Amino acid sequence: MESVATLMAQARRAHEQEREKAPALLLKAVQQRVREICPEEDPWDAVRRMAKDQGDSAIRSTYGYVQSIANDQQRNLPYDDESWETNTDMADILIETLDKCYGNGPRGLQMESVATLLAKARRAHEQEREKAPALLLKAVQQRVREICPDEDPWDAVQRMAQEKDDLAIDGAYWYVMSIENDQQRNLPYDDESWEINTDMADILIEKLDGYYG
Amino acid sequence: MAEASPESYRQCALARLARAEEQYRAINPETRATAFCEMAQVASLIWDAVIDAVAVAYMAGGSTPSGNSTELSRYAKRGLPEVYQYWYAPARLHNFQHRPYMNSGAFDFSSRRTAVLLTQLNRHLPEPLRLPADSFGWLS
Repeated sequence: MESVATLMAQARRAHEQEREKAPALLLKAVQQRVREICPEEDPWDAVRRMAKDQGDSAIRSTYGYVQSIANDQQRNLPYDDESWETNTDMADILIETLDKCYGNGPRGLQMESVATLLAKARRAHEQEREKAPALLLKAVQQRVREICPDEDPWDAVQRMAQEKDDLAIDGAYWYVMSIENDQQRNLPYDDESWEINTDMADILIEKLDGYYG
Repeated sequence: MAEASPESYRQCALARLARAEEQYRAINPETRATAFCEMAQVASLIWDAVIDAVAVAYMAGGSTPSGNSTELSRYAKRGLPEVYQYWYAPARLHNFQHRPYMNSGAFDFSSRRTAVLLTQLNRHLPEPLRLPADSFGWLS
């Protein structure tokens, strides 16, 4: 099963390449996050109930926005870039709010999900650039720890790359780690390196979803 | 000046790889860890060779490169995902000259994985445009 983070990455890629598919993928991502919390309930019913339970109308309105853009697209009403930016922001806010309210870790621990950490890294790249590489590394480390909680993440990815005979696993992790290492040494990264960095994080997470669920 | 063609880009890639190999072998293996400038030159040649090789695929698909490496990086991302998954390796070599702390271990890791990338890329090229395996085998 694809993780929420992978579905978000697929939606972002679709926005660049097959624009008409992007809104449905983004809706699928937030629906999946909702289903992680309430697997038996219709997602729209669940968000309305959760908004009431938590006294936080943002839960309902952010989901409603993502759903409305997907509805527009189904009716062949195209969306513009600004709507898309708002759409991904709403998805990020919803996922982050659900993390805070319902936790993400084992036994509902108040941990940020991988999708939230990725969103934070992207925001940091725009606002507090020097913090972005560490947040991106934290996101991929968290995904690795979800699979191998007791192993050092770098050791784990090297082992997994060998087990699956897939050199993209440890290579992608290594790149994300390298850019963070640069930042620690105050060597700034450029926009192209950042694009590759987020692509590598997405590739790694998608591969881990495919191999380990 | 001859018009750019997939074959001319292929020849550029081969020439750069040959020059990189020559320069790499000229560095004393015992001093590689400290020969940063020489290693950076080799790294730069490898990166340029990868970009030329991706341009071969780009042109073979009917497009004309503008000379901007970002354009080719994005082409690889969208059109050659099996290749792009190894993009981390040449990308790191591209940065090598600006990263004086990078050691020969990082260089070796990147160059070995660049060989994997070129092997994958070859699969996307029509037979006459493929790079001979021995042109980049030394990277492994």
